[in-house]
Amino acid sequence: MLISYLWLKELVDFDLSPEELAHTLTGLGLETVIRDDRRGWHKDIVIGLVKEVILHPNADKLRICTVDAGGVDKKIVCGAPNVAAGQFVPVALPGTVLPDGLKIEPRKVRGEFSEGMICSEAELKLSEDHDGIMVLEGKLKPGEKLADRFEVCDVILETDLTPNRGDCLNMIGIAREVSAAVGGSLKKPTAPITESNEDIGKSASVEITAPEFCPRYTARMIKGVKVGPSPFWMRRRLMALGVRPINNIVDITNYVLMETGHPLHAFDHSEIRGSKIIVRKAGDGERFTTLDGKERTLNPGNLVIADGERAVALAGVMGGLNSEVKATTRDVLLEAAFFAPSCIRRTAKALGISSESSYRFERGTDVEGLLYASDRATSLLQTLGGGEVSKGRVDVYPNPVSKKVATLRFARLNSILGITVGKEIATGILQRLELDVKRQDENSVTVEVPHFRFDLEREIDLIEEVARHNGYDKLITSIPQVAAGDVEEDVCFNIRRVLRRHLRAIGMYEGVRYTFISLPDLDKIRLSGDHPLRAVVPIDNPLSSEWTHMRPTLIPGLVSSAREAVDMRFFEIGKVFAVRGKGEAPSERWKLGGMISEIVKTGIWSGRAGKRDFYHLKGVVQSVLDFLGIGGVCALSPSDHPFYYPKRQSDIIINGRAVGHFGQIHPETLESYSVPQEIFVFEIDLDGLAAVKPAPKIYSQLSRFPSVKRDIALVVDTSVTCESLIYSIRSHGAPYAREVEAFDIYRGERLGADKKSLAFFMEFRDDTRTLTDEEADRIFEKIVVGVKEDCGAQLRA
Amino acid sequence: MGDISISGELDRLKSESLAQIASAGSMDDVEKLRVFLLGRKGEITSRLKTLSSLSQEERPAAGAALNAVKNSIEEALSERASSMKKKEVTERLEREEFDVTLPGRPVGDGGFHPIGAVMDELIGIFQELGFSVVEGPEIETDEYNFQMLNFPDDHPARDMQDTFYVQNGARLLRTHTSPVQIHAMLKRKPPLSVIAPGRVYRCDSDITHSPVFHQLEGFHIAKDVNFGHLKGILELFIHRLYGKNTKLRFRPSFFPFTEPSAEVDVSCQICSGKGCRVCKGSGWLEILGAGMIDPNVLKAVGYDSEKWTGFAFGMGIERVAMLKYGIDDIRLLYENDIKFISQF
Ligand SMILES: [Zn+2]
Repeated sequence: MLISYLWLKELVDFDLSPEELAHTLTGLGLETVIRDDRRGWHKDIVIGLVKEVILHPNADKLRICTVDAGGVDKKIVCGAPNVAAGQFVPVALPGTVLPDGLKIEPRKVRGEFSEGMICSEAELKLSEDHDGIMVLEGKLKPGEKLADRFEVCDVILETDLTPNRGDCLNMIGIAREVSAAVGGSLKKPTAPITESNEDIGKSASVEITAPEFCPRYTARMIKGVKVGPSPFWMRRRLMALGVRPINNIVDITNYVLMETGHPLHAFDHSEIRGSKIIVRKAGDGERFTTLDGKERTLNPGNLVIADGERAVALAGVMGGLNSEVKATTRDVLLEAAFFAPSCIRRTAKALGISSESSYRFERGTDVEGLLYASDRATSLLQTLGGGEVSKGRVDVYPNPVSKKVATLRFARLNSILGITVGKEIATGILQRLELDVKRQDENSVTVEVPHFRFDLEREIDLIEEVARHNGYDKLITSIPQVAAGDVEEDVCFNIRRVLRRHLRAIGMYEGVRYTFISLPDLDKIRLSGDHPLRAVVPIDNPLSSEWTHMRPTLIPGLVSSAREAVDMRFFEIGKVFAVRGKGEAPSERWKLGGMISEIVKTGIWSGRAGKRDFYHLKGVVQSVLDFLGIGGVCALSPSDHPFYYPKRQSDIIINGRAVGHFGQIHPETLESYSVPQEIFVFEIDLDGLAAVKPAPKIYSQLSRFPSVKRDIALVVDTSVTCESLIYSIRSHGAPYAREVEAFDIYRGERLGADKKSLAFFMEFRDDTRTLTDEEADRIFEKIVVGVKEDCGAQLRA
Repeated sequence: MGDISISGELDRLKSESLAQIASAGSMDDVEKLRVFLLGRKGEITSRLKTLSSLSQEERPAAGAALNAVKNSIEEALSERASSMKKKEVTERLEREEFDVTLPGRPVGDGGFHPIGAVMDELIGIFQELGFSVVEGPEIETDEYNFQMLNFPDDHPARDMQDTFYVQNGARLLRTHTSPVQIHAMLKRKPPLSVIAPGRVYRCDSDITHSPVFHQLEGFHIAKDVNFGHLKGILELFIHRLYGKNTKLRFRPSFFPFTEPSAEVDVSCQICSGKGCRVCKGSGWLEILGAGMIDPNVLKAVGYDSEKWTGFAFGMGIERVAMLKYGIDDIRLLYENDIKFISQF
C-alpha cells in the first residue's frame, strides 16, 4: 500500500516528518519505508501567466510566449500546441533544476532567446503526459511557487501490510492508526449530495439471489454525467498511489477506493438491460468477458452481477466489457456492495485475477462503511462530473450484520504481556481505534468492534491492539524457567549430528542439494521400469521441469555434483521419499550419502598422489560403520544396483537386512550427467542404522608374550576373493594366527592372465607362552597347505 | 730420577696436556688428543711403563701422582668432548636453511556446509538453554501445516506461504517447521520446551528465495509464560550467537499461529548499526519471527489456554548463514560446488 504524505496530512492532524511517520507506523506493525522522496522536486517552479503567444519566425511548430512570472515578463519559446494566452502555467526559470536533474539555462532556440521553460506534467514528473504543457486551474497569482498552491512536493511511503490488516489498505485506515498513535483527530472528508426529485426506484432495482455470497448490495444513480479527464489534484493523488487515471468516473471510483478502502463499481446505466440488477451465482460453464477483454468460464462458485439478460460484472473482482463506462456514458449506476471474502478469494484465485478490488474484498471490507464510500463517490461525481443524483439509494441488506463484541480482562492482559498496563491506558487505546466501550468495570472492559476490523474478535486480539499501541519496547525482558520436560531426543537425530563431525574429520565436505528430481534423473541412474525407487512422489505444481518429484535416493544429487575434473569428497544427509499405499502418507527416510572422486588434489607436497579407487570408498564406508560401533555386525554382500559398475559394488547388511550400498558409478550414468571422471558413491539408511544396537565393546587382555610376524604372498585365480583367503589363513592358522591383513595385490604377465598375487601380513601368537621360530614355521607350513586346498593358492616364488 | 724431577715433569705434562685439550677446536681434535695422551702409545701410557724402572719405594708415590694426572686429563677430555658436541650440534642447526612457509600437509581437510554449520550452532545454543530437539515430516497435511496453526481456509494469510502440493492436493510440502509444534504438543503434555529444525518448501525462487530452505522453530509452553519471557529467551540466544553488544528490536507483526506477534530485528553485525549495504542503511537486520502462541493453536491440540500459555519463534537458517558469511545469492548454497563449499 502506497501512502501519500501530503494526502495523509489532510486526513489526520499529526506533526511527524515522513521519516518519523515511517518509524511510527513500523512500530505499530505497519512496516513502512519511504519509497519516493519528492520534497526537492518542484521547489523552484513558479506559476506564470501567459500574456501573449506569437509564432516563432524560424520554426512552424514553435511559439514565443510572453509570460508574467511574478512582476517580470519573460520570453519563453514553447513547442506545445496547447499553449494559449490567459493560461496559468508552471514555469521553470533559469537556474531551476527539474526532477530529472536537467538545469534550465537561458538559451537561444532557433535564433530566438528563451528565458526558461513552460513545463508539461511529464517534465515535472507528475504524470506521463507529454502531450502539452500543464495548464493550472484555480485562482492563481503569477510568481507564486507551484508547491505553495498545489500538492506536488510529496513523499510517497510504502507500507507492507500483513494480511490481517485489510482495514489499512486505504488512506483513511492509515490515518486512523496515525490518529490513535499521536492523538491527532481524524478528518474524514464530507460527502455533500444534492439529490434531485426523481426517485432512484425509477432507474434501478436490485435483487440478491445469493445472499451468502453477497450480504449487502447498494446502488446510487447519477444522471447526465460528463465524461472527461479528472482534475489535476485527483490525477496526481491517484498516480502517487500507483493508479493510472482514465476518466473522471473511473478515477472517482478508484479515488474513493484508495481513500476509504471500499471498492465501488460504476456501470453505464444504458447497458443495464431492464434497469434491473440481479446478484446471482454464475451458471456452470457460463462465459463472461471481463473488461480486460478476456473471456472467462465461470461456475456456481463465482458470483456475478447481472441484468435482466446477462452478466455485467464479475462481482468484486472485475467489471464486464459490456457495461463499462465509456466516453459516451451519460447515466451512471454506482455499486457499493459487500461480498463474502472467501467467495471473492476463490474466484480471483481460480481465474488468476488479482485486482485492487478483489484484493480488498478478500481481506474484508466494511459492510456499513460502504454507505459512506458510496456517498463520497456520488458527491464527487456530482461536483466533478456535473451529474444529477437521483433521490435515495437502493439498499438490499436482508440480514444486517451485527458488530462483534469482545471482552478484555485486565488481569489476562497483564499476564500475557508480563507488565502492568493501566486500565485507562488500555481502554484509551481501544477507544482511539474506534472500538466502542459497551461495559467497563474494575476487572474488564467490553467493546464493540467496528465492521472494518475483520481481525478483531477475541480477547487475545484486543491484547495485541493494546500491546501494539502501548509499544513492544515497554515489555520487560525476563528469563523463563525452561525445562525440557520428558522430551526424549531422537536416536537418528543424534547419529546424524555426530556423523557429520566424523565425516568432516575424515576429510569430507558437507553438501546440500534440493530435495527435487525429475523423471529423467531416474533414467540417468539406469533404473528399470519396475525398479522400487521409481515409486516417486510427484509434485502437483513444480516450479521447473527439473524439479517435478521428491527424490527417492540421494544418488542423482551426488552424481550431478561432480561436474568438474577436480578432487571431490562430499557427503549429504537428507531425506528421501517414496509413495506407499493409497491414502497413506509417503515414506520419509533419512539417508547418508557420499561421493568421492577418482581425481585427487595434485601436487607431491600433499603427500598424496595417484588416484582414488573403490577401496578408498570402502574405507570411508567402513570408517562410518566403525565410528557408529557397528562395523563388527555388518556384512557385505554382492548387489546389483543399476547405477554402479556391475562388479564394483556391494550391499551393507545388518541383521540380514540391507541398510546401504556403495560402488563405482556406472559409465553410462557418468556420461548422462557429463561427469568427467570416475566417481564412487555410497548411500546408507540412517533410520535403519538408528535401529541397530552397536555391539558392546569388551576389552580383550593384552598378551604378555611376543608374537611372531610373517608375510605370505599367494598366487590365486583372479576370481578368488581376498576375504576367502583371509578366512582360510585364519582357520588353518588357528588359534595362533591373530592378525591377518592384506597389504598388496599384484597382477602381471609372469603370473598369467587369469592369476593374481595377494600378499598378507600375519601375526602368530600364543597367550600362554612364547612361540619358537620352529613352531611358527610349522604354523606357516600348515597355512600353505590349507590355502592350496581351499583356494588353489600357490606360494609365490 | 729424583722425586723433584718426576713431579716437575708430571706437572709439566699435566699443564701442557690440559692446555692442548682446552684448545682442541672440534670433536675430532679431542679424539686425536685422547689417542695421543691416553692411547696405547700415548704419553701417559708410556710414562706408566717407565714406572717399572723405579725402585720399590718410589713406585707407589710416582704411580699415584701419575694416576692423578691421568684422571684430570681424562676429565678434561670428556668435558671438552661434551662441550664440543654441544657446540657442533648448535652450529649445525644454526647453519641449516629451512622454509617453514611451505604449506602444511593436509590431514582430513573436510568442512561443514554453511547451512549445516549455522544449524548446528543454533541447535547447540538452544540445547544449552534447555530446549530439546523434535523433528517432523516434510510431507504434511493441510490440517497440520495450516488449519491447526490457525490459518483458516480461503484466508489471505495463506498467500504468505506459496505452497507445493503433492498427490493431487492430498498433501503438501510443509511450508514451515511450525507443524512440528502441533505434532509435539499432541504427543506430549505441557510444560514443553522444544526446538524443531528442518527443511521446508515454498513455491518461490530467486536470488533471495529458494524453493527448498531450512528453518529452526522453537516454542515453550508452561504456566504463566508471558511476552517478556519471549524477549528474554531471544535476547539470550542472540547474545550467544552474535555477542553481548547486539541489540534487539521487537516490532508488531502478524502470524496466524501467534498473537501478539513480533518481527525481531537485531542490530547489523556488519556496520554495528550504523547502516550499510547489507542492512539497507537501516542498521537493523530482520532475523526472527515470534509471538505468544495463539489460543486457537492451543485449543486445536486440546490444551487449556487459560491454564497454559507459551511463546514460539522461528528463523530462516539460510538468512542467518548468508548474513554470517556475506553470501549474496542463495542458489550458491545448493549447488555442491567444491570451490564454494570448501570456503567454510
Ligand atoms: Zn549494516
